[in-house]
Amino acid sequence: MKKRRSYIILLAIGLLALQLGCVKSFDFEEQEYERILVVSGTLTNEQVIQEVFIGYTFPISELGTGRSIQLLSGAEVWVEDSDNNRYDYVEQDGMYRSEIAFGGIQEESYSLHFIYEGKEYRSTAETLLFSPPIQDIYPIYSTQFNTIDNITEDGILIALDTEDPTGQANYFRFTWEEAWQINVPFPSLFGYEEENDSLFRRLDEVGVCFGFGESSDLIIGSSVGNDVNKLIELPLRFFSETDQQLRDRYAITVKQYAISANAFSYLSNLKKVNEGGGTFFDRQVGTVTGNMISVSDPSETVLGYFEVAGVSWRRKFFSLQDVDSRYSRPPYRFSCGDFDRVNTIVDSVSYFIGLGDIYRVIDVSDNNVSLIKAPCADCSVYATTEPPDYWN
Amino acid sequence: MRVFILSILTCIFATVHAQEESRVSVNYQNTHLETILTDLSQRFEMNFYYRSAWIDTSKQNFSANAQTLPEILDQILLGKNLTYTIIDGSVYLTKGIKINLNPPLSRLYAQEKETEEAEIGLVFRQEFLNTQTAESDLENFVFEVGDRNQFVQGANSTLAGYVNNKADSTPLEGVVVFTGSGQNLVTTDENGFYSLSLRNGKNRVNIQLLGKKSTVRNLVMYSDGQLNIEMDDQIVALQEVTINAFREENVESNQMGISKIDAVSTKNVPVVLGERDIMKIAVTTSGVQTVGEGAAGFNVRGGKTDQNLVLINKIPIYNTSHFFGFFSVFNTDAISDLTLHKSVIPVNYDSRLSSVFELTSKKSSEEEFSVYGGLSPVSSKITAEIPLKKVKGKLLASGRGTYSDWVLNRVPEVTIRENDIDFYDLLIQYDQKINAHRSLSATYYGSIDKFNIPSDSLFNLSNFRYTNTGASIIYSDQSNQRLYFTSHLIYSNYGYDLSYDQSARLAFNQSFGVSETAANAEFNYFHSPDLEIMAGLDAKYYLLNPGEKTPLGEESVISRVQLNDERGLESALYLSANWQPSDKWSFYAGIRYSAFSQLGPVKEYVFDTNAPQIAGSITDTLSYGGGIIRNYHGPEPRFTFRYKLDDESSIKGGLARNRQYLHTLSNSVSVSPTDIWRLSSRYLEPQISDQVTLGYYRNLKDDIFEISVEGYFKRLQNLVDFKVGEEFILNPLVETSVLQGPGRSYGVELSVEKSGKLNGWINYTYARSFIQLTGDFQDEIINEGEFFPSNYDRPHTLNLVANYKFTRRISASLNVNYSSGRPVTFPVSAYEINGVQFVHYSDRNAFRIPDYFRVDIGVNLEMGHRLTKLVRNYWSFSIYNLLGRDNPYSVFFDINKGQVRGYQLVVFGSAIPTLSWNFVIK
Repeated sequence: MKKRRSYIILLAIGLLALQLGCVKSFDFEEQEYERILVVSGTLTNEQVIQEVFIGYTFPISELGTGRSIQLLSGAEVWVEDSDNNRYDYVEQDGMYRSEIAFGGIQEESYSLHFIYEGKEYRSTAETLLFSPPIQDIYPIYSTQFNTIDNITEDGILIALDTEDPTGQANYFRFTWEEAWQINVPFPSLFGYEEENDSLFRRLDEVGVCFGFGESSDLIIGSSVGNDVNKLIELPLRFFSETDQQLRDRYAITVKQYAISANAFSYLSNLKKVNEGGGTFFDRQVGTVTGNMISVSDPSETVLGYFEVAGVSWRRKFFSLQDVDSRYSRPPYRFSCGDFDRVNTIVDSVSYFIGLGDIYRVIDVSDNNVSLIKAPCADCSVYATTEPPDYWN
Repeated sequence: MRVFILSILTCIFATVHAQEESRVSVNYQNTHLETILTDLSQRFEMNFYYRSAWIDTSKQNFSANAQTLPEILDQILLGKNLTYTIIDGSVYLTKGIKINLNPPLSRLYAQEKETEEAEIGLVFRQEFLNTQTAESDLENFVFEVGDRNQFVQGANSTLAGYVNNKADSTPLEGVVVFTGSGQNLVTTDENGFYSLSLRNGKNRVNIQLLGKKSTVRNLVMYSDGQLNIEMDDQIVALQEVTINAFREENVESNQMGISKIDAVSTKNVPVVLGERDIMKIAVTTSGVQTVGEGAAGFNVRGGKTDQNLVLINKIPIYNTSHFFGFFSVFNTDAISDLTLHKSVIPVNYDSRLSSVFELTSKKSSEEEFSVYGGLSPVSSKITAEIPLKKVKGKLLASGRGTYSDWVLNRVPEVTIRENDIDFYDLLIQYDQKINAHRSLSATYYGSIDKFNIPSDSLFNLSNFRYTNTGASIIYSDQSNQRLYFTSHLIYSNYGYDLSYDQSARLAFNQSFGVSETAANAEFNYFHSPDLEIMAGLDAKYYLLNPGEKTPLGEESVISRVQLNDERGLESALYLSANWQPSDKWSFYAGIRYSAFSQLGPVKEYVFDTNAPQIAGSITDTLSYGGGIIRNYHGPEPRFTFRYKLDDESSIKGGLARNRQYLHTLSNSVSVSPTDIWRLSSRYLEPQISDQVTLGYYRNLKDDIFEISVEGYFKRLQNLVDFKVGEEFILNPLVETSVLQGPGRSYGVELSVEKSGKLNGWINYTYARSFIQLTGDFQDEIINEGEFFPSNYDRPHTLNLVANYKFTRRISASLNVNYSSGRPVTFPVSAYEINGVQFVHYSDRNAFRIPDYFRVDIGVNLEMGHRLTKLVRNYWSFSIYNLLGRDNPYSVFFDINKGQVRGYQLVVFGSAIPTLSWNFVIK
């Protein structure tokens, strides 16, 4: 019997090894930085000051440092429509901005031009497509593979359906912004005034706050490939059972850009070569070029895409009750148990408060005072109590 | 050639201590000779070795009073044509051959080879005792024929005897027996009998028969006498042993870049998770590389993975890997040997550019039923050899399957438990003898891999399954002694299907499939021992489903996508000659004229030549009906020569052109299971390679060491690649994504093989391989249109496979692998598009991942050598990646929280111990 057990263990080890392989960090020396021209910007149908970025790639080490943006300064930049109407752009705050507010017109095509040090660049002409309303945004109970921890997680996927009944817009890019309500488990009802060592009933509410987020990934989808000419179940956002967003109330605002097939193909190629690998079948990576051309030197690589797109948006609120019941309410992100709590008498409150910004007073009854770690009672320590203007 | 003598001898165990001088009294009444021998063995406490077939079943009466063993043996063997020899307390019975402990005339051979001379007896004895260490063999042994007293200098004597099939002692007809230069040639009759007139003295007799391993005998003719010869060892006996008929070929053969691997020799090589794998061994021969551990596919001499043809009993296998790339789809238990051609491929093989891996399955024994199999942490396998004596047929059936479900359910990790990964393979081979010269062999082969992954990061699919199915019928006719005819019919099919059912509305099935049906007829004409001519005809029909996607379930809204089937007819005529005008020179010259016809119906797009080849630049669509749409054809000349510098060394050189009409489309770095094959068409031109190769070959110490140095240069045309990021699966306009460009590769391969107690090989390969992708438009140009290193360009590779046999039962082995890291593309700068950060990559393959280094060890223990024992066990314990080194398979990058992070995928980042058990039941 004993022998058999050891055999099973051996098998298991073998399969574990087989299964997981493992992904470890790899320290690579940063290679000599290659400085290449990049164009990024979207001309929308909204009547606004339109923007486009023209600049350079930056060293990898500067990612996330804020120093990264290197504008190509001193270029002559304009957008031209098919009737040769010209919209000039001027340099401002690290971007080129249109001199006047204008919006693209549906089915009109536009191209970006710029001249820098005598060299001329332009984009191919892109046609502005109408962006249909987003049909629905909804939660689905789903299982996702977490590539970072190599585990599968159950959770809620926020997905989207969209449809252009005219059949013109088939390719889309999306961005989202989110806001969620934070309810602390033990709202602090009392404040402490150090000057006269006294407790007072709070007037401000510090037990309800709001968290905010926005998309940082490229989200694209297409309605091509199904019978109903509809983009279905496009994943926008996934929440595992430890994510906080769905504890109480949540709102997501999705912006939809109707882009061209070429723009979609460019973005999807870009996404593919930038998506982490770590499989046996890693995709060949390399340079992805968009719709920018150097007229003076066609062999010059210009990265990026001048996008022309119709825009529409939709906001949706969810509560925990709206999602699949298999999803249980995520635990509060901070531990708020007995170890985090102190019960003392009024006279000793000054001692605990004096330890620093550690405790908050939850409640007072007679001479007994309950204190708890600050984030359990007062979310203003890590979030804002100001709701977004659309919150109701 | 090493002949395994033990294999043909029955062994009766008794205690040791030579007792031949002691005297015994015996009395046998009406007793079988075998019983007598058994009794004598016990009485004298000596081992007797003989072959059961030699012992007749007649009963005899014999009595002796206080006689020694030689006295008794002299009497009981009288008139039985059996000779005995007593060496160190063991008795060897031989038939027709006298064991000569001190051949007086062996000096005759001294000039030619440093053979055994005085030690010949000792060496011969070793062969009997332990074939693994025998460093000589029947081919080097000097037989004495006739009576020495009748020796007349300069006269002729007649050598006569029988040639039998070693496996079953059946006579072999049509065997060519000849002396060195071939002027003296006879063939055996239906009883296997031959008679040949030879000059007295030293002679070297060659014995050849198509389908059997050629052999030679050195003999000294004294007078008329007999020499029986056995051909082809395929016996499963006390111990399976490598039969290495190829050692001389290193120097002798005019073929280059050829490796033969015997399945048995793979038994002792440590492997990961105990799956003995002949393909993995093949990859450790010089010139063969993979992109990494566990990668499917191999790169031979700088060729792409689709340029290898893998055949099992002539059936082409499109996907040779189980579990992506960890195991090969061949159960090595059922394999006899593997021949790898990586240089000048003989003209009778299909058109592929780089190599041919030809696997031959075992044939069942004609005599004995046996079953063998094993258990490893991954799979269990079983093979049965079933002789069907009544119909003169032989059946071999071999199957293997995983029990991963069972194991996975016992793994505590939930993610693993949810997976369901299975693979199976099955080989059935039936051999039918029609008569002495005609035979038919039929093979079925199938393999299945299934994956059910709850949520998958690799492909966004839930179920994935790929299968190989194939069958072949091979007919061979040797009734004409000079003109042999073989013909085969083949069917092979490979396909995969995958499905996604996580979302009911988006659920789909997707499939790909390729099949081929082929026929071949081939004649081999043996004009003389110095000239062999081969001619043949190949015809092959391809039917390919490039991709189909169908909705799954009623709720699904997925559109059905069906790419048009592709059809093609590939045919070839070939002719070659093997000519040896003198001992020094040998030539192989051949030509294969191959043609490929693309068959309709086909829809073709015409693109604006002034614009990038994208969907938007289509100017016309041409629709063709059935029939031939387009032909590609051309000659494929092949040539090699061998010049022998002396008996132990030679120089060889060769030239070859190969054409290939079938291509893999893949946009991943290594072979991916979702890769598809496509036939040549308007926008996918045939791949062509031209190779020049030159080598020096030398055998040392009586062929114990085989050394070779080969250099090559290859020029390739129309290698298939992809525009960055493009898809090929279900892409109706795949021509807008494909790039084709020239390649070049060159290298030097140095290899040393050793046989004997310590055996194995070490090889070093310097190999480079480059590709160029250029065009008129930015998306067609990679690395400014210059040649750049291919994904499998690994300049330095060193392989060591060593095995040391301590005793007959215990052996230990060592593997060492080193290779340069493969090229990789690193990010060199970053940028933002629409607020999302991306990296910009360097020129393709401008950098390299760290070098690969791995050491494995293994210990093998074989138990139960007794033939009388029903079950014999074979245990092997190995530690894969003993040093636990992290060898990156790939390096990749992602941007997370504003930082580019580098990762490496390590497949086996720790030492992996494995115990596996194999058995044989007879």
